[in-house]
Amino acid sequence: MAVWHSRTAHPIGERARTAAMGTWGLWLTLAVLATFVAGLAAAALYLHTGQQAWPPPDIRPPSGRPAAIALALTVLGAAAGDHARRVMGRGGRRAAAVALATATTAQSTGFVVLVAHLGTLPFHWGDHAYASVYWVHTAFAAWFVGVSALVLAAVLVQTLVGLVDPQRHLELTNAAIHAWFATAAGAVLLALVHLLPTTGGGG
Amino acid sequence: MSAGTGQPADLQQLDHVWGPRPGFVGWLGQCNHKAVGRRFIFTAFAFLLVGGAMALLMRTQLAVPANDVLGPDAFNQLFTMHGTIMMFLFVVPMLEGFTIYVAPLSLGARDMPMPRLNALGYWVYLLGGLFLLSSFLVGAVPDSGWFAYVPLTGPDYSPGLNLDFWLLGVTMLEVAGIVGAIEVVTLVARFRAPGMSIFRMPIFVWSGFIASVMILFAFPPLVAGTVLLELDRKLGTVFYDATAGGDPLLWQHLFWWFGHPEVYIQLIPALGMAAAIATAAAGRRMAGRTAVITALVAIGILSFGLWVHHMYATGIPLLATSLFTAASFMIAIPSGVIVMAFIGTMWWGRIRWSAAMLYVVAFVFVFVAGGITGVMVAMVPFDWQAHDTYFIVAHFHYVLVGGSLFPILGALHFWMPKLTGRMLDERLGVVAFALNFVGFNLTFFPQHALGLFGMPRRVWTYQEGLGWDGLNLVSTAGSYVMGLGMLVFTLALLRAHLPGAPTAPDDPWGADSLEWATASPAPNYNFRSTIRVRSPEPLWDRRSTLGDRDGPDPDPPEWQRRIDTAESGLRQAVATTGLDARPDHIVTLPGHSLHPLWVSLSLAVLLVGVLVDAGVLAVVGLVGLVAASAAWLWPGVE
Amino acid sequence: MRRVVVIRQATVAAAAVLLAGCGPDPRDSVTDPASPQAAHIDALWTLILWLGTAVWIGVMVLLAVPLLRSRRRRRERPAAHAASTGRSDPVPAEATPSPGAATAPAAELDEPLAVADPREHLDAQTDQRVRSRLLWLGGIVVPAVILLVLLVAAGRVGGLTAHVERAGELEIEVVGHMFWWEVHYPELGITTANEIHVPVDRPVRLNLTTDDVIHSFWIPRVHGKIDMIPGRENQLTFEPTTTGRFRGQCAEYCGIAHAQMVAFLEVQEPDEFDAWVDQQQRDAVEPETESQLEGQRVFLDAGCAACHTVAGTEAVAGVGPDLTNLASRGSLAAGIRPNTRDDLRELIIDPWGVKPGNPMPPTILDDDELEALLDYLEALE
Repeated sequence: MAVWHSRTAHPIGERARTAAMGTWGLWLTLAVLATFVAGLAAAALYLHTGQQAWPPPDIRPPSGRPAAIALALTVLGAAAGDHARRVMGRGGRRAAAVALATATTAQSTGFVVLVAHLGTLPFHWGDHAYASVYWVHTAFAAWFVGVSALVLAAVLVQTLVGLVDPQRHLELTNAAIHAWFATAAGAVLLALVHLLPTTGGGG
Repeated sequence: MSAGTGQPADLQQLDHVWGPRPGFVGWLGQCNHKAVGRRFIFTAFAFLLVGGAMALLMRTQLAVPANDVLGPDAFNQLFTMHGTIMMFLFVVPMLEGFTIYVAPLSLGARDMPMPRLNALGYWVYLLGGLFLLSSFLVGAVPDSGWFAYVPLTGPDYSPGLNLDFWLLGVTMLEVAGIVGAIEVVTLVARFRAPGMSIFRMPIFVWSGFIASVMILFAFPPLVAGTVLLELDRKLGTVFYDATAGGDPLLWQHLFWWFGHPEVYIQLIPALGMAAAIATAAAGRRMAGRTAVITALVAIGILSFGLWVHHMYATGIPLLATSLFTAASFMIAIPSGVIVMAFIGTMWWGRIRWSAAMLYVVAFVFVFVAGGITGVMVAMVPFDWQAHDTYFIVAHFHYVLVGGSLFPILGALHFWMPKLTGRMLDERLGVVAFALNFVGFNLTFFPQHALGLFGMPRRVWTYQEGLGWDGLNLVSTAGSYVMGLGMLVFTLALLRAHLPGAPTAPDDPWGADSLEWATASPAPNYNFRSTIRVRSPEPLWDRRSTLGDRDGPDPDPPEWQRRIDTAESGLRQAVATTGLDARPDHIVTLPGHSLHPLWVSLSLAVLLVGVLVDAGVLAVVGLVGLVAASAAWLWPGVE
Repeated sequence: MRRVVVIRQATVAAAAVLLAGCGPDPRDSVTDPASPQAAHIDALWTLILWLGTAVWIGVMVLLAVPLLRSRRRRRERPAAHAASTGRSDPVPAEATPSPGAATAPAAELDEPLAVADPREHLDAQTDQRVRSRLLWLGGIVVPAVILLVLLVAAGRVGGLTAHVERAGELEIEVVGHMFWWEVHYPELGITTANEIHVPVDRPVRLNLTTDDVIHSFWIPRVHGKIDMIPGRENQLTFEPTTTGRFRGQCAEYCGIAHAQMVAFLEVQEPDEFDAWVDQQQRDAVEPETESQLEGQRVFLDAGCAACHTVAGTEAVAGVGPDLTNLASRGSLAAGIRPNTRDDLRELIIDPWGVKPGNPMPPTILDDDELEALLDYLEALE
């Protein structure tokens, strides 16, 4: 079996023991993006610990429901992407395409839900650091989910035109992993927006 | 020995497969590590001259009290751009350029594992640098220092485009750095010649690898910080606005989380260069080779725990800052091991002197002094006095000139034969070295005293009668001497490349690592046949199989024959396993590609759109970015 | 040879620098402490200066030994040296690998030594022990011991100099502005600018805040610096033990005129200080002469009062420094000019020439108005 189904790598022996270049590139990119998310998370936590009340008394925290719905859709999308990867590995190209379409739809809907939620917020991002964090961190969550939806859509197109098939589908594998990463990044950012305690560290 | 004359058919085929496409477009679309590495190195050298000229202007202004060569605006712009250029446009890209050019050769690889990413790194770097410098054309040069503290850099106190140029330009340069780092990590993990187990890697490659891993974890938080600041400036969010629940100290934490490791990102590969030069000059393995590698790794890890030592004067409680004193002291131990290893290597007494080796000795001389003042300023109470004075200016120039610039100049001497096939003139090189060394110490040694006498950094002028006059004059005189030294160095560089200048032999230094086993300059295909490495010094052990030097392997396995002849017409190379470098699979690499250029141009258009608040332009850039990325990633190579 | 010349040049340069550093002019140096806090830090500096110099010289000696040795060896064994510089000489038979070498496991081949010229292998082996000792002692043991000593010293000095509440402190609020210092004595009801008067031998506590960007307050002879950060208040406590006028400058880059933001600490005998307090607590001197009265009118009408306060008049704005006791100060424009009539005139008509980036606009006055204004301001003691 041509492990990892890369179109640019050919094992020397029976099978390759190590990951393909594409896999390395993916994981290193995800490490960079994860560090970026960690930077955003550190900023939110630092601002939170500097405040007595989070949010401040004159801002009422909006409902967390849209974020929860968006996150559920993103998880659904990532699971569907994963399913697509597995059925493709077993040779089910049509089933994989269906699963990919589901994944794309679910994650792009998640993206739309988050963006729509930002459009209805009762406060402006410049009102307070809490509002800035709410806006920007939600927007970055939407960004990660949106990029993932784009990637899934691109792989869907590649599958439909026949470039991605059961023998060569490293693209699909990477898109599925990336979809999970986008889910995790979105979950962390949305948790920072919604789950921090309402009393800060003081000061 | 060299591949020049009477090439057999398979060499022609190899050369054809690994060479660039003809014409200007072919030149533009080169992704090969040698082309990209050379571009990085020479662009970075040009930026070094620009940044150095700025330093001379500043020293001219400060030569005498109440001088009026420059006004405060110009001076503030110059020190901001001097720091930014030296950090982001010279040292880091220069070290990355050397890693990109030399590391694949040292590892016995045919190319970088992701050549197009390589080219992307260069284009983004070049455009980011031009973006920053274009601020001079529109008269909105960044002027708030290279660490850009808020609120001075916020929307209220820097309303112009100045800081937008800085934030967006630096973000581009960070992206370039990250792209290169991903590349180097994959290279080291995947593309070592069969037999080059991880502990047989040359120290220089180790150091480039460590710095690249550091970049992956140090740069993104600064990108996050600059994005938040740019949002504060452009959209009016209040992350750093103390009156609305934000906090200016947040910027300092994010900045120094990046900024401190950045110092070591500039130091570690330069230590690796010095190690390569010293090993070759001494004709023996680096003393305590394993200890040196361990020490480099330790420095890389520890450097992430020191960022607060730039913030002792911000009122953080003494107990917390004292912990960072202890952490900062810890880094002195691996540094001590490395310095002793250099001395131990020279101890053997077979040193063959060259300008490159002189720079290594100068590095020990200067870097030890910078390290000692570093220990001083790591102590909280002393730092309360020294912080933000000329003592600090002197300290970090001792560290960065001693620890980065001198090894880089040495490395230019050392690797120029391999880069371009020309030797730099030794006599000119020694003259340049002497001027640089004397000029440097004359410039920066007096600045220690100036700091203790109360002279803060970043002042464009000072009054007479403060006791600063003589020392400043000496410092300025020293800077001219060093400027002259750099001029001589540049002349040597140009002279070596005039037509008719002598060409370099394959291995002028009797060095140990694989880049010296091939022709100078390295041919398109790097090595004639696959190399088998049997020790950390494959050129000395007389057991390793060296492609070009020993001729083709008489009885290669089938996969090796395939890539050694390039019969498929594809750029094929062997990837090996992570620790012990056993052949694992054949990888087909892309060659010519313009996608990286389109991606980086789109990114530049996007950022210019953001800069001038032209939404349409930004959207065009974004769409271009998505389209170019999609085209790039479209499955093509079989 | 070349090295020696270089080192000699460096030594000469260093000596020149030190001589240049010993001129007659008085400096506000960290090494000339005027308070126990600064004295503790100076003692720490003396310790690290000598230790650091000793370490540096030690390392340089270690560096010089191999260099000198290498020259001696070259003299003694020129032939061997010449041989070692070329790689083209034939390999001695004993150095060629045994047939099994190519298949032996990596660990057996990667011995701790490798040399370019196999004939020097023995030589290298003898040196190996020295080098390993060098690494352990020079790289780890000695630095660790020194650093432990320094860690204890730094901790002790830190504890002695950090801010603590003390009984009988004189509390002063200093507010950083672009580009001057606002000074309040909350217990004494005094507001002034750029010049802080304190009595000798009494603990002083500065509460430091900023009105705009980050500044850093620093008077080297009494204590280290501490930043003024928006949204925070930092404290600095010290106890001046010497009378005198101590200079300091803003130490955090704060914009265009950062270089011209000077503060003076005036340490006085207690009775002098009391007299100064008494003078400052009074409202501004009433104008007496005709010219001073005219000057006050100009002050109130020409725009000065839009930014400055003169206590006891209609001028109560707080944008610029309080001018109630302007004439009692020693300097102008945040410590960059002496307080003379000529400098004051120049500051009023050309503030941007005196201090580029100064937020104070030029004031257009005819000569009579200007002289009257100067008469008025010079009477504000």
